[in-house]
Amino acid sequence: MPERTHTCPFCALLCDDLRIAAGARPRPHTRCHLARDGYGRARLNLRPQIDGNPVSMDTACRKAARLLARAKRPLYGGLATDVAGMRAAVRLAERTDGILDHAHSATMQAQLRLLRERGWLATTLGELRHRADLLVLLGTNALSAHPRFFERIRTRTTAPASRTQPLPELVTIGRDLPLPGYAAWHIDVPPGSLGELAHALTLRIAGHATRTRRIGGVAMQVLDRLARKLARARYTVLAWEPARLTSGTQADLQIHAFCDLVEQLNHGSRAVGLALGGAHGAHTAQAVSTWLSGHPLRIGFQGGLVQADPIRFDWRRVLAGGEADVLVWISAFDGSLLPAPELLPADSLPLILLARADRPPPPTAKVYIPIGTPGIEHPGHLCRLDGMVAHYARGGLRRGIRHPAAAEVLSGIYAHLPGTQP
Amino acid sequence: MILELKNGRVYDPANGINGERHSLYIRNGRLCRPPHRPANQSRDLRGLVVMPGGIDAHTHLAGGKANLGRILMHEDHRDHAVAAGPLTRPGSGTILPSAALAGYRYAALGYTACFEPAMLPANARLTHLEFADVPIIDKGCYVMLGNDDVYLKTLAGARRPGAAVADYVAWMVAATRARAVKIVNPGGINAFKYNQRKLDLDEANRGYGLTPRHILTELARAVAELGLPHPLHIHGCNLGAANSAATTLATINALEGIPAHLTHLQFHAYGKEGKRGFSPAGDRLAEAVNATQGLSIDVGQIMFGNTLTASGDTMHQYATRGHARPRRVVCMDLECEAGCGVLPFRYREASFVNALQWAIGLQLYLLIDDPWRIFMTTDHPNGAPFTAYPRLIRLLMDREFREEQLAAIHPEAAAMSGLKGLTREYSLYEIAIITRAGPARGLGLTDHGHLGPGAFANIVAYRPHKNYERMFSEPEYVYKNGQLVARRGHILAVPTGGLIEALPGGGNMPGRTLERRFNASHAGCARNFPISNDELAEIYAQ
Repeated sequence: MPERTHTCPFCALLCDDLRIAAGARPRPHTRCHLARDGYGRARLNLRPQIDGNPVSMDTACRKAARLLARAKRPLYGGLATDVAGMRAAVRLAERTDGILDHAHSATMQAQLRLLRERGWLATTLGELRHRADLLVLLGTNALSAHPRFFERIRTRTTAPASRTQPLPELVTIGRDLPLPGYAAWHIDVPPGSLGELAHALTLRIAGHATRTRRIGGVAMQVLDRLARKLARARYTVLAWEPARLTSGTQADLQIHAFCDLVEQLNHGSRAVGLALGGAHGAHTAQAVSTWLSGHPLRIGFQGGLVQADPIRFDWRRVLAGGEADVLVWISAFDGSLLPAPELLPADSLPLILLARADRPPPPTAKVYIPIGTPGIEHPGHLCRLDGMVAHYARGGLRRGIRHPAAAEVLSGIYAHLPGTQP
Repeated sequence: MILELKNGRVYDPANGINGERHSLYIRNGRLCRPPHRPANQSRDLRGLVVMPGGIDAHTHLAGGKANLGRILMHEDHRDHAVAAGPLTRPGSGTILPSAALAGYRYAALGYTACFEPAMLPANARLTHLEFADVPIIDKGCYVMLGNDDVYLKTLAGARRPGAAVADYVAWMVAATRARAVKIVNPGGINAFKYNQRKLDLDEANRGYGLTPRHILTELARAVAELGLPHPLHIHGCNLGAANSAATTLATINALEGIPAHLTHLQFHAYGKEGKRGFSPAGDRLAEAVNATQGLSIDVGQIMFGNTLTASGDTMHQYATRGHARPRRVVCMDLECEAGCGVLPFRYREASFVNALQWAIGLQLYLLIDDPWRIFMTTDHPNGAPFTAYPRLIRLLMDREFREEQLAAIHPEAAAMSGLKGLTREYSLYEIAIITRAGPARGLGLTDHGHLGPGAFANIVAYRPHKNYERMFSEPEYVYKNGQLVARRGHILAVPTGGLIEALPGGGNMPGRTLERRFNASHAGCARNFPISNDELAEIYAQ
């Protein structure tokens, strides 16, 4: 009987080659700490609660529905769930004039602005694996976000007309980017100078002279050596991790500089960009929001109309400004993914918390409903970091206590809203 | 429970009915023979033109590039938000509307089935997930092959790859729950990854040394031998190039009678005559199509206005990036399968090239004799959003209107186009063929596109008007599987549409060689790739 491997939901690589021993604490056959931690957590025998008192699922859903029906501006945050969970969250928000924002959407804003203003030339993991002969990592070594990154892009067979090694040639540019066990050329550059360096490379490759002797602390001979390597490569992937770039406009400028370099390289050869990161279902939430509402997050519904506003609907700003009157927080992969306590004034903001049952709920939760994790307790569709591929994480890895999927709970709440047809 | 729709003027070309007054009977969602007892319900369609529900055989509705397009066209979404109704969800966008709006708008126009023509295999799950949120209409998709490294390796690796190709195609169609196979710029999208910037029909692809001729004909043959319901759906080489017509004619010859469908033929119908080096060749192509029985086409008509081009043809889209309006372009190399390029675009009457493109599309409609072999499309949204269909119908049916429009375009293009001399006006019967009966036949749909007993009760009734654009914009009644879903633009019911596949069942596990090749070129396992019945049920669960 051919063995089916499992899809891991604990980072946006969505490795689907994992062998996992099922049980009370499923054990993935890998050294990846995100997978081991993600699969191996305890599952507490928690029941739904209202004000800390155990209640039935139905009672909890009814209470949540009543709170939402009375609310004028609920905020649906976290959104760390699968496609079905996000679909259900959007449907609820449509009915209740809700704002929707993902816990990590701040790290996605720079890439969204890039698309809105300019677009880019990009690639997916399969191309990096099969075709790239040079990978340049800017400001990241990929490993903290994706511990198995190099395992996943290593190939056992050689690709035609591409490279003769299992991995592309590696260059890391930045600071403190160890790559133990991999031969990589590391160029030390302070994080704030990455954009400047990319810009200088673009100019050099385009054949422009410069009188500067160092850029971002890098000597021109080193820069020129790198420029020659980039120009000679057949398929270069420039990868960066938006969450690790300096925040605000600096991240935008840096990303634009990276994209300028990609564009310049395409005059003579082929080059593409790749944005890493995006954990806890951030890419899933973005994809579903875009096809359902026409806009990526951050969105809000009011009077039956959708608006998109990356500033107004930033969940932290909404909470800090006291603009929401109910918070629905969904966190299926990690029960510790929660708003900071100072953002949750319990007395004025009821919290409806749907979270993985790997720890007791915070006392601030008005309504608590434990949910399962896609790929462990139940199957779910999840979007990969490159935006074009979704995997179906089958689940079925645990026996015993069955916590429902976020989609099931959110649909249950929806069903109890006044006016919903049975 | 029998519903009677009586006294309508029925146009049902598949059953030879041409405007006769005819009553229709519906039971359990399908048309049935006239019953012995009176119907439970009756509606009088006296004076109305009745046709089967429309079928759009080529519309870029869903999948990764649709989402990219929505983000690029953010002003369109900001400026055109649509409020929720009693039965309808909110949404936004006029060019690449959000999923629910796409379903409502198609249904309100009288369409009951639509086909996404460029589904990347690795994107199949996302395509189906998005489809599931497009209400009312039935959906199907064509899986893109022919630039994938697995296929090219298979072709390059064996002297007689026929059986291996057939196995691969069957596995892919079943795994992705597709209705048909599409090829885009044969070998060209792959070649672009190896820095080739153009690829002619008999030029070798840099990565594999294979020519588009070889890549295309092997795939077309495999599709035909597998007995798939629709022939290979071909977006040929050199789309948009001046002199693309020469490539298209050579491609038709290369097929040597293997059944095929040439898509958005307008974009492949350019000559290089004249002082601008760009001239119409719609007449030459029409002649070739007329002479080649096994060939069907769809036009990909452009209509003036703002839109977005979204295509798997990265090679072409990258080359065109300077023409994007507004200036935003996304091009992606995708998962060793294909690519995509997404560019906002404006077609203007005053542009010589755009005006000629418009005229060339009309040349094709007016010069191809057999309406059964030509499907009406705008290659939504590449030529224009599908909401332009009523206006396009008016151009085909109303010569006076057509000539008024001709007078408003770039005069040199108008003069070159030869359109003034084309007096043909499509009849309602012919419109019914190119928008319903023909696509149904071409896609092998036996229970769609006609109104005979056994067909799904997808029925549209239009109030006749001398302005055909008005007539076709807001049908009086739209029935989907016997349920009234729209009336004069208002959505009255929101049933879930069905999925139309070629090889239901989700397919088998891949063979060893295929698995090895797939795993070598994807970042994902072949065994996890096929969409099983359980998974499909979950995708489409509401």
